[in-house]
Amino acid sequence: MSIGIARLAYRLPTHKRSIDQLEKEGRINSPASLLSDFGFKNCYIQEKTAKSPDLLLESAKEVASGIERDSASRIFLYSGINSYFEKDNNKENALELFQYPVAKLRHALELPKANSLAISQQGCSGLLSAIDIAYHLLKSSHEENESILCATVDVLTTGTKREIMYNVMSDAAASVLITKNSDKNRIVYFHQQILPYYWDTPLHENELLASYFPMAQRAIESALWGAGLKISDIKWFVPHNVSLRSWEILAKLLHIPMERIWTNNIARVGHTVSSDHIINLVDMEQEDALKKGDYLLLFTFGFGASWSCLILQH
Amino acid sequence: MVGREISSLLVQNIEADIYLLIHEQGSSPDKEKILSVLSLPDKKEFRERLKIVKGDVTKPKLGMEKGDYQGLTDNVTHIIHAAASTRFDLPIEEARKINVIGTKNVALLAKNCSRIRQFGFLSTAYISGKRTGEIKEKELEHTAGFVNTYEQSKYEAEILLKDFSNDFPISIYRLSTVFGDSKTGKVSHFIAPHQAVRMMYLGLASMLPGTPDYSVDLISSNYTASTVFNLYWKNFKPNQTFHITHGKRSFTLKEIIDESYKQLAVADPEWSLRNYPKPAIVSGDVFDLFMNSVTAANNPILQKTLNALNHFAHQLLYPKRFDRSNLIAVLPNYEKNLPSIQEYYGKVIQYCIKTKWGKIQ
Repeated sequence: MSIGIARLAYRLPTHKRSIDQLEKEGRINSPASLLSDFGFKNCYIQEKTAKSPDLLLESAKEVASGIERDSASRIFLYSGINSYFEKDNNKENALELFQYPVAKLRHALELPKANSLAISQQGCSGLLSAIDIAYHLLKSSHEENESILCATVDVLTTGTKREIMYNVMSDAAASVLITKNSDKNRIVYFHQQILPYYWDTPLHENELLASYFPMAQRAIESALWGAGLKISDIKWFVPHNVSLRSWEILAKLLHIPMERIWTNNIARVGHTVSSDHIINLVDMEQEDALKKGDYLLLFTFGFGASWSCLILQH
Repeated sequence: MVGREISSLLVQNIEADIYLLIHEQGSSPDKEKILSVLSLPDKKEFRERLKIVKGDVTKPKLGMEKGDYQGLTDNVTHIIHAAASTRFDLPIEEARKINVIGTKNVALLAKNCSRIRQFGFLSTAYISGKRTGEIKEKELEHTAGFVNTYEQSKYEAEILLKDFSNDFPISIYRLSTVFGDSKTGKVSHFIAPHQAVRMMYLGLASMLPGTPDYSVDLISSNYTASTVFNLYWKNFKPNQTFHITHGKRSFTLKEIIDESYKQLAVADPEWSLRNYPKPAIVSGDVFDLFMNSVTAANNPILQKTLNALNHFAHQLLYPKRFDRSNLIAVLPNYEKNLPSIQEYYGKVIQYCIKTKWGKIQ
């Protein structure tokens, strides 16, 4: 049994803005020059029109295409943004409150046996946690040919600024298929450090900024220890696409060269709440950066607050 | 940093008039208040012998009226110069004005005192700046540079005093970082290490430059004051310099972070539930990169926090040991009687929390 991420896909909106345009439109808090120094260039924004592509459905369809329909035992749909599952609550007809996006996704994907469930509220850590849950479910299952689809979608509400704590935020969706007999991306170890006191993000913004690096260092070192690996065993650090500067600091803190961190998408896409790692992994694969057997360390921080590490073997 | 404590010992132990130079700024404090600040009982004897003189060390003749200045030059036989700015973040010209020009003006007063017998100068062990390794008491001049303008200006003051060494007997007391009273935990002067603990308490301490095994030399205010008093009043050695430091039994940087978290949790159990992470111990370039990012991001709270640490924290990158040969030769029981920082660290932390780092009495 080699439980791993067998398939993965992502979608970005077609509408792209530069950080200079965002600044002119008053959609960032910091000067564009600062965000540029921090490594950002672009931002993808999902427009609310009938013609806008369904990012979630498209990414999920790509990973689900061609699989045995009965093999998918579960669908986990994650969003780190509260409003995704709570929009338009002001309905006259109470039944309209029960139009579940995850049920719609299951229907669209034609996966009749998949127990579908939406999960939320772990910020950027959510998809990695969903993958960890999927891993444990598959590990304890006796079915030979079983898979779990984890999908994530984060679209900021109209009017929300496109910067969070000095990071440029894009909309995106990503999906992964976790299978029992994956020929790549074997799930080696997942570790999460949590600080529940920080649950009130606006109230604890500065404490979060201050604790980010020591907690990140602790989470990564604990994950490596748990996996029985040394930091030098990791071929690639797959980041969440937050500021390049923060990765430069973390790289020095961990004594790793920047060349081992896949930072190409920080400028191109920016940060997307919970799709970053999948966007990066897909691009790394397409650019032939990954070799069989490479250890990959996916790290992220999620509001709530959690610092998460997922170690894969490609 | 221990001016109050030394003044208190002098008033209590010397049968002589004590002239206390108070900064001329603001209204003249009454003697009762001064006695209270010096933690002295309001005794008639103390009130009579304690003479308050208003002045400003940065001004020629200490900015005093001619008659007042003359009164000092006629009567004063002993001077201890403890007036200084201990701020680490002053521009060098401002630091020089107080710590170098101020020392020059006090030294000129001593030179003008017809009956001067001895001059004591409170300096810092960190005039050694960015030097590493063993720092001898007899050593002064170096080209290693300084971490902050406090170190530099006190170094320059010591250099300046060499010009007066033929005019009157000088003894220099280089203090380590004065942390608090070993018996009560009281802090009369909150400085960078207290602010560092405050940052930990507020959950804003992200990282500190240095190495885990760096020896953080902290000394108690009461023991430092009594040591200076003993050296100056009972065992004056002209043209000698003394390192008054904690030495080998100091906390390491890692230990002091651990101990701070432990003592903060004891003093405020609710605080411990927050589980703030301990700051990472990082190299100088990581700290600078983080500092530059915070500055660029213009985050006022983190910027203020890091500025408070920045001007002293880099000293943690220059490990050193302070030789105390002169000190031990004069006070052989110094080490034996030295209060252990491990024993009173918690009292100081409790005092910091109780007074909100000096904001409330």
